[in-house]
Amino acid sequence: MDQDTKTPPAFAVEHLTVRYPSERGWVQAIRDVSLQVERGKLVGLAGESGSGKSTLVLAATRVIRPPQVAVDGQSFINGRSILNLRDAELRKMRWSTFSFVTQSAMNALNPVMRLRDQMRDTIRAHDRSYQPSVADARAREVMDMVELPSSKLLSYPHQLSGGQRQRAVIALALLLRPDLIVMDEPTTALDVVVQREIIDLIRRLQNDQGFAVVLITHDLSLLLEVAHHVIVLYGGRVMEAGPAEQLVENPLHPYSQALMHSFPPLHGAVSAQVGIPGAPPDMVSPPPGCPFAPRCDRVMGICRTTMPLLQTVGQVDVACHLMNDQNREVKTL
Amino acid sequence: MFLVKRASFYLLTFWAAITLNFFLPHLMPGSAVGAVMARAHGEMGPGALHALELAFGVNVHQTLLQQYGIYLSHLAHGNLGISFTYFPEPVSQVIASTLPWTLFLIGLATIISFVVGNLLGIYAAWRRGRPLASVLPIAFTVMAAMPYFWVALIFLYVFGFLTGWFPITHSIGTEVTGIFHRFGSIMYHATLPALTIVITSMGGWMVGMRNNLVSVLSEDYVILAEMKGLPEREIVANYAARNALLPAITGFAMSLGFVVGGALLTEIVFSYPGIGYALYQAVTNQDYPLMQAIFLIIVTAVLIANFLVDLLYSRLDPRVSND
Repeated sequence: MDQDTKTPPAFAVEHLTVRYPSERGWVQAIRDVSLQVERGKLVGLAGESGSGKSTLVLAATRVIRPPQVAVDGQSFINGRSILNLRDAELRKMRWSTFSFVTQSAMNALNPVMRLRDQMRDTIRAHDRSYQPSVADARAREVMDMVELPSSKLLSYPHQLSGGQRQRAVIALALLLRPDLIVMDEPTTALDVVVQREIIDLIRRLQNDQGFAVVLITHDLSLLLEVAHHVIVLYGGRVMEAGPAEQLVENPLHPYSQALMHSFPPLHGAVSAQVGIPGAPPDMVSPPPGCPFAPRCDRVMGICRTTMPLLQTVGQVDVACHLMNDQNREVKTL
Repeated sequence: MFLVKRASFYLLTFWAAITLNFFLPHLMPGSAVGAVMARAHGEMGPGALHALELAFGVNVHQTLLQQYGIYLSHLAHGNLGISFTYFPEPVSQVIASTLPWTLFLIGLATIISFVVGNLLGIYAAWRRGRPLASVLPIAFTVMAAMPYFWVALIFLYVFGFLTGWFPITHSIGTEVTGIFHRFGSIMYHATLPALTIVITSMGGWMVGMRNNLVSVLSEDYVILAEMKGLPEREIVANYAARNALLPAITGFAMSLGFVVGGALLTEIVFSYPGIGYALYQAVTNQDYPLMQAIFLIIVTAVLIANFLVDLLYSRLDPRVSND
């Protein structure tokens, strides 16, 4: 492998557009989204239901693919173009380079197979010199990492509690030492205490092992605690992207601000929560301007007609007309 | 523990079934001896009547309870009485000569239908969108909707009578010797009846499997299996089909149990000497001992099949055996 002057990012998406057919026409789930996840970083993808955050990652990793969806643009993992890869090569790359912790870990495990067998078949699919004893040793290792007793390897999924199952799914994701793990709402199905444990576990594992994480969640305040970098999606577009501290301290986009206020912080004083009035836009015929314009409390005339471009303000990228100089005045008023 | 619980449940059911089997004929009007006498058109004297009564065990001045005890003890010794229809052949012998044919023909056809139907169902779901996968369910739904006797008669007429490709009656040719020759003849005779059963019953399995599998395919664990980069064959077999097959197993148990009841229409249309045909004879001739015995065998077979499938199910789905 020839190493360039710079190692490629773990995950990069360039001008990705994803549409899927519905009875009423094409749903524009993702519109011209670009993002980068550097090696070893934890990047959060935030947005409410229907913002396209899962679709973005699933289409970029070819889990959903034509004819289910139409995909334009480029997607790279470790510098390799995923969308142009041959099926057999993609299959080899799956799990060994990038793995998943899926939305509902409760249903992510096959109910009729022991945990051990679900790990064995994964190793067997990627290792020519597969040996059950070697595979089992690795399985015990990853169980250890997620703090589950290795005796649980002989269990069926229904014999594990919700938290244990979530840990088992994370163990599975670690199995082949991937460079990137996509975690799609890994804590939503769990109670608050277990949520906390899982988040701490993810953070520690990520520190120790150095894999990159794309963490998809609608819980922005949780994301801001663990993520290095946060990308806020709305209506299939990037609204705001930047370092997590920046977004906590000073969210610039009205949507990020609204999203921040709709979740209680995990730490700190109790404060009044404000919802975001209105509903996400209809993605079959999205508004021509900013997708958030119909719900925005600081909407201007231009917002309804022209989509704002992403522009860099300090360390943050924001797509909002309020950021333009002539509109700043309005903002301060 | 699971095993003991299931086994005792089946034993209780079996006892209830044989008890019902004893009392039901006693609740019916008319007597077996009367039926035989009527068939003889008054050519039997009182002595013959008495002999028949002794042979069939009626009018022997015993209480119902005593008769029940005798019935149970006869049953334990495999004594099922004497058939009226095939008089004086004992019922056990009638069954011994007809049951193997039925087990062979209907059993084989049921298993083939289940296996092929489910495989086609897997294909139709996994490759849905392709022309063949779209046509299959429609074709077999239509096939399954056609009345069986009609399909059987058409096959018999076209492939048996018109073209003469297949025999139209019996289970084995006359004057066949040698084990290979006999085997060939048996298969040859079974082809047409088995084929009609398979093509009319396969559609149900196929459509059921297809529908189950389509919903299982959107389960997270199937998607995760694909994300894991497993070979397609393993995803279909271990993750998708194995879970989609579970509901079909129960249906398979039932149909296996009913195999010994014979496929009445098949055996009549193709004049196949199976137990279904014997049951038909027994019913038309008021042959209570034979009917009782066949019902008993059906009940036993259904119970055994269900028990075996219970055992199999607990191996296929770990969620049922331990909780």
